[in-house]
Amino acid sequence: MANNIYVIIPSLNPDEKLKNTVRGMLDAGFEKIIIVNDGSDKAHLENFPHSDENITVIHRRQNHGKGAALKVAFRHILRNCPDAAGVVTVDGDGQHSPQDAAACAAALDGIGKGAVLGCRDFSGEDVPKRSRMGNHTTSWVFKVLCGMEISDTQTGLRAFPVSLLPLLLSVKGDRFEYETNMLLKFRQCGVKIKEVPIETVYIEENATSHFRPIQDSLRIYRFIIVYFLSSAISFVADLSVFYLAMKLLGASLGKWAELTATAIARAISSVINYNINRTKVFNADSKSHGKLARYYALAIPQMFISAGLVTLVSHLLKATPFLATVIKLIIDTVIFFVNYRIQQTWVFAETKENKSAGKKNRKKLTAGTVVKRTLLSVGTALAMVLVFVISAALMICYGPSKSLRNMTVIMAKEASATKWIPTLFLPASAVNKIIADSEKVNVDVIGTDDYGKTAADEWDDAVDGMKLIYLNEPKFKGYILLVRDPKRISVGTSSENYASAAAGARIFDIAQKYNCTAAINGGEFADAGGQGTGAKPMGLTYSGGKNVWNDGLKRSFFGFDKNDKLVCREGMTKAEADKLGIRDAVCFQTGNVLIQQNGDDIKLFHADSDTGTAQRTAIGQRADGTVILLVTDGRSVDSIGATRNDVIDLMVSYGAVNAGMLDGGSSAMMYYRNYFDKYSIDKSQLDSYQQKGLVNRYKAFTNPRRIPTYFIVSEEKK
Amino acid sequence: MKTHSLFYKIYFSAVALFAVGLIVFLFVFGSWLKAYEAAQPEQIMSAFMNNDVKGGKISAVKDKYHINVSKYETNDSIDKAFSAVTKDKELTFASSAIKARRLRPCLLGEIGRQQAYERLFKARQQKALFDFGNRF
Repeated sequence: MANNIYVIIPSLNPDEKLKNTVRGMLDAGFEKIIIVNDGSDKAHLENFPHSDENITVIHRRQNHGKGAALKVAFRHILRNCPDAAGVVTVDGDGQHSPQDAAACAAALDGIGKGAVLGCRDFSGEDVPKRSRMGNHTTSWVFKVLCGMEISDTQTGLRAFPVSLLPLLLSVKGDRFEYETNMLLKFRQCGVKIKEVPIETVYIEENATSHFRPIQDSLRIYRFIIVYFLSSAISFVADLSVFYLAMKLLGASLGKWAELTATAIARAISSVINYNINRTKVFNADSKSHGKLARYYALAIPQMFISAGLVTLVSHLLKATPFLATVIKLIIDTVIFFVNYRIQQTWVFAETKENKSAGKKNRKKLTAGTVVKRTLLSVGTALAMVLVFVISAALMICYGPSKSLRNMTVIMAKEASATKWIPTLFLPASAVNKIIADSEKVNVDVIGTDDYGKTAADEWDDAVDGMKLIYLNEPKFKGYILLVRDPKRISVGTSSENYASAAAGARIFDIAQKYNCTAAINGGEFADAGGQGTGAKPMGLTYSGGKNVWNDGLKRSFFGFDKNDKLVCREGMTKAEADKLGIRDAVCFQTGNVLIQQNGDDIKLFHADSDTGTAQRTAIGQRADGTVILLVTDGRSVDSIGATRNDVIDLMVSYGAVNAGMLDGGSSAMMYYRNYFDKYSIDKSQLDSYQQKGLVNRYKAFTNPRRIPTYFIVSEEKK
Repeated sequence: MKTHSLFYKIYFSAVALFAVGLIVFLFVFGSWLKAYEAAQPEQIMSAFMNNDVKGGKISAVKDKYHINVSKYETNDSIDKAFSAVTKDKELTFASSAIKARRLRPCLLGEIGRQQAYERLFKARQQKALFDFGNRF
């Protein structure tokens, strides 16, 4: 036996078997034995041999545990025994024979930076049941979770080269869990393990063991318990943040609420999970960007794999919701265990290369470097967005679709805030031509016979003498409010004296002011750059039988006369309006009369080509007097908006014989008091403005704007 | 070269990925624009006019679109009558206003300055290239 292999025997309250063990080791050829008295009481001190040239006894006043005792011995060897080539740890209760210790020591030859475990055979009848069960269970857990096939995880007979001692000193744990943690560390650091079969000796049913079944088992399985707890804490955090995010942001985010809340919740819970796993489960020593990157490189695909597998299996089995939940539970459990193994061997692996790479990178990271890289990243990201937008814009302008180019240009020109964009990419003459072409109007004349007849039971399910109709067209979502009695329609104004008004009113203020049941936005107002205050209307305006504004501008005029007939006419003068007995009216830009009745002929003023798509508001009237209020959503991914011809199409299909376009874009609004209750609409699916009575989906990033005029619907007279 | 750090590896990978992604996007977007343009009513009308009507064999249009005629009219008589009417005159078309919901576009065939026929077309299929889902 090489005399530079040290035997380490940790011991607590030993009996006479300790001396026998020491003697046996000396007889087997070991020349250096270190015994650590781990706080034994006075009655047992006589069983420790005396120190001499072969035996060193280190006494500790208090008991700290087997793991701590082994570390004391390792530290002693590193400091005081420069000749040491390796160590063999042996239990002092006679369970390990000197021959087995010698065999383990011999196995160190050529192992490099590996470890040798003396493994017992637990199949014998003389093995105590609790020992057999304990070892089998631990072996199984190691196999499933860590992919380590170790036949005896709790063996105390182990041999290590001295070069491994610094790593062993870094292993956490002071008691029996130290030996388990040691194996996990080996896995994490890629240390090879060699098993040597040894004799299985249990003396007096292992009665002299200091192993405490509950406390020490909990310590041994701490790593898996903490892994479970880490997942549980992350799960609770995920749910809590999701709930909070939905509560705080749900209304304003609308249909994206669940996705956004899930993303926020997952981002926060993953940071919690990463930190607990790093510090408490895998005891990874150093922080590094590499670990974080590897963690997310595992977590993100794992999320998709989980979702994909659950969807696939549920689809194949045509699973009910309950079965789908069971499938998810099974798949996530498998992923949970696989995850542990990957996190241990890859994400949080402490390899030499990782450590040195981390240190190398950290050395370079000065504050200046961080600032430089941050600026570079942000600048590059902005440049990427810009390049993407410009490429897409050029493709639209000079690509194969003239229709889309024209539509995009018109859309941009129609909105005050984006009017300047088209000329960035196209010559002004080309832009002007597109706009001029879109303003060409063809007049089609149809007869009243072309209209379909209204169903006799149309009003059977009306509420408040009105019918709210949701439109789900291919290009846009829209809302139609049919009001049976035209007498209920009037114009609501934001001010009694427009000349001195500073700002318009929001639709909710108008609803409150007039106590009206419903309202839509009305006529035109000055809105340079989309920043108009909506203080004053443009064009001839009537409210409650009075002419409330007349700036002399000639516009498209839409108003109700004394017979409650909707009059749609271009360039109406005050004299003409007074002669017709106009009671309530607004104006909008010239050329926005859409449908006009002239005797039996109905003129449809459709655009020669497609106009831009946008949020639209329009008012129309059937021959029977029913008023049609229309608002569409627009300029969003799920509703790009309606064209002029779409609005005419809708108005004709709902029977309008007179109709006109009102102000659209960010002014397009329809209010209907408590419509969600009247039509049994799930209020939780509505955004904050809709919950206040807005029917359409207004842009979430702006308040419903202030405007000067509204068409309002008074309460039904019964 | 100093740019061997992990940061620059990720940085240049991201830039390269963006460049590749942009090229792929432009190809996909270009083909989408082509399909969009080809589906526009004007294009459909133009193809109908040039391929079907101006071919001279108006009876083929009758058969293709299952237009009912009286039992006294034959394909020959229809072709002869059509040729006589259109001789030395220009054939044009104009898309017109909505005549009925879901029956767009409408084709007004004009011979010289006279309207010769009117045809309503019903959408055969609607294909959403990008479906953003329904809110309702």
